[in-house]
Amino acid sequence: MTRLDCPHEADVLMMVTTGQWPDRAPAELREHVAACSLCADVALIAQVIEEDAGWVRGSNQDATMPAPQLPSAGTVWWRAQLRARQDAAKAVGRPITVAQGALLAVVGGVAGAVFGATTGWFQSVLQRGWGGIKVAASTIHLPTLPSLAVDTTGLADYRAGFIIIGIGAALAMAVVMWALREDRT
Amino acid sequence: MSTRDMTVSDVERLTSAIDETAFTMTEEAFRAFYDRTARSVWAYLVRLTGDPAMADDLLQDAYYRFLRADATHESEAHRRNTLFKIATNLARDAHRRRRVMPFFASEPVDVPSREDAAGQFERSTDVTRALNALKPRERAMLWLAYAEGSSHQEIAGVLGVKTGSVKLLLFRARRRMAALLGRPAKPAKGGAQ
Repeated sequence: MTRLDCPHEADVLMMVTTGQWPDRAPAELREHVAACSLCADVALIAQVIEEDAGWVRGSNQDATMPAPQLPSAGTVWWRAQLRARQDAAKAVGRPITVAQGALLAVVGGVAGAVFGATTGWFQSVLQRGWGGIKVAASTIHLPTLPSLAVDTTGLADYRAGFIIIGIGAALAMAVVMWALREDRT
Repeated sequence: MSTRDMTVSDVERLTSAIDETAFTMTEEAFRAFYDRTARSVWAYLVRLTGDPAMADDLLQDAYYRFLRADATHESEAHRRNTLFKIATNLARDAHRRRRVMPFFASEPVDVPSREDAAGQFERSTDVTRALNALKPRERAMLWLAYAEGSSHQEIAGVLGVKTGSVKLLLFRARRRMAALLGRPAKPAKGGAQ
């Protein structure tokens, strides 16, 4: 079984983080690290990462290394406040947008129904379309469920109706989705 | 919805929602916390994403989410860990969104140029290369353990892994990084392989 840690690891890490590794570390510890691969890994990795972290943060003692230019705390606070307000305004507007979308769908449905009921040419087109759908629907054979002892033969008469309802529902959902899409201006 | 379309009740709702956005943390407390943590979080994000520009964006986002979370923290360490957890998740999300750019960039990133520190730059480039060759989780784990001095429990909390797994994962990450830095992996002394 592979050993995952060594009791001297913490001592090695402490020496590295306090900048005492390896020169100011006790001789026994240096000897141990030379013989223990676990502690050798800890010493190596901790040293390089700590050095790299100081370099990236710009906090190393070396004066030639400029610190990264981060936004000030005040700027970050101000931006966060601004963004919170924008998010709040969006959240407040959302229920209104939902209501507007639903209203749009209802108005669209009613307008379509009135148009359909009062326009002769549309009704004839619809009848032709309905006939076509009935023919097409009659070619579709729904799979029967042998385990169910329910008589489904009567449902065949409503097949075209189901298809129309399905298409209508999909269209209504599309209209609502369009009305609710976030990037609508 | 334009402001012209707003009713009185809309304005009232908007006003109350804006009032609710005031963060639990005071500006003074935030400034102090930011000054203590920003450099560390930024460095972590740079090494996690391999992209200083992305780290800039994620830094801002991390503090915003931290403020919005309005969580109560038992201690400064707890607060700091929450921030690092948010930063980790943001880096992960950014990686998912931008798969064209590897989470750990394949080429070392030129984090501020330091012409006068050539030796340091070379060493850092080696470390960057080695870190870039690791898995994102390994990179984050090593950084948290050795740059941030996080405990196994804290690492588990930030990365969303079991505390018991951290020891093994850290061991493997160290081994890989040591090998990548040119130190041949030797079997651990004191146990059967």
